[in-house]
Amino acid sequence: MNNKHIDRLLRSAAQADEDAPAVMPFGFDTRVVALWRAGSPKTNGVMQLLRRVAVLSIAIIVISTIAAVREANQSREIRESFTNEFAIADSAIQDEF
Amino acid sequence: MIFIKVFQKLSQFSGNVPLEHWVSRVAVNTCLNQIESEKVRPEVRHADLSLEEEAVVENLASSSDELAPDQRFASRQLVEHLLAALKPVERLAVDLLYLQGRSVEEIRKITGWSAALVKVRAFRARQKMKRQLAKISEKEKQ
Repeated sequence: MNNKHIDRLLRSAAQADEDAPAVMPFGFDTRVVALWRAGSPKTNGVMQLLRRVAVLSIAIIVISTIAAVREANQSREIRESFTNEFAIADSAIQDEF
Repeated sequence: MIFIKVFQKLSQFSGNVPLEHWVSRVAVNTCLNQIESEKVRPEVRHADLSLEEEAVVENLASSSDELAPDQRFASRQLVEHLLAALKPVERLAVDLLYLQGRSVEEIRKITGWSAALVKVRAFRARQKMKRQLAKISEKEKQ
């Protein structure tokens, strides 16, 4: 073996480096994604439906509660105003007698 | 090498830690193992070569033509085998000068070595590779 041999070998090896671009091994990304999906909690269709129903129910309950409280406040004001009228009427009747 | 190891050991990934951390751990361990194995630096044996690499050795000895394009990959593997028996600095010199095709000036800037040192290290590395290759070639003839 002389210098020419080693030169030829090195030239060929250097060209091989250009030929082979660095790429991921076949199926690597698929395995990573599969593992990631396997790691996430599994939910079926029924569970998703139940969750949606629960969220919707909570929203309706909150809205109804707010509406009921407002309604109660308004009716109390009306009741108070009626109470005052009755009190005025009572005092007027008592004054007459 | 790290990429392949990650691919092979992917089933051992527990998912308790982020994937990036696990990959970096694998990378560190692979590098430490590589450093340990490099302390031994065994010489290249004929039995270690694949059939394609043997064909490259035979071709080098029998013909003076350039190696065929389909032998490039095998020649690269053969060079990797020969480089494994060299010191890290010599390996770096060969890699930068011959495989990456950089100039002595570029290597001087990258490594901080003097131009003379670059040439000396590359020369010594080539001599060692040549001796290794001659040994392999002799064994092939026997």
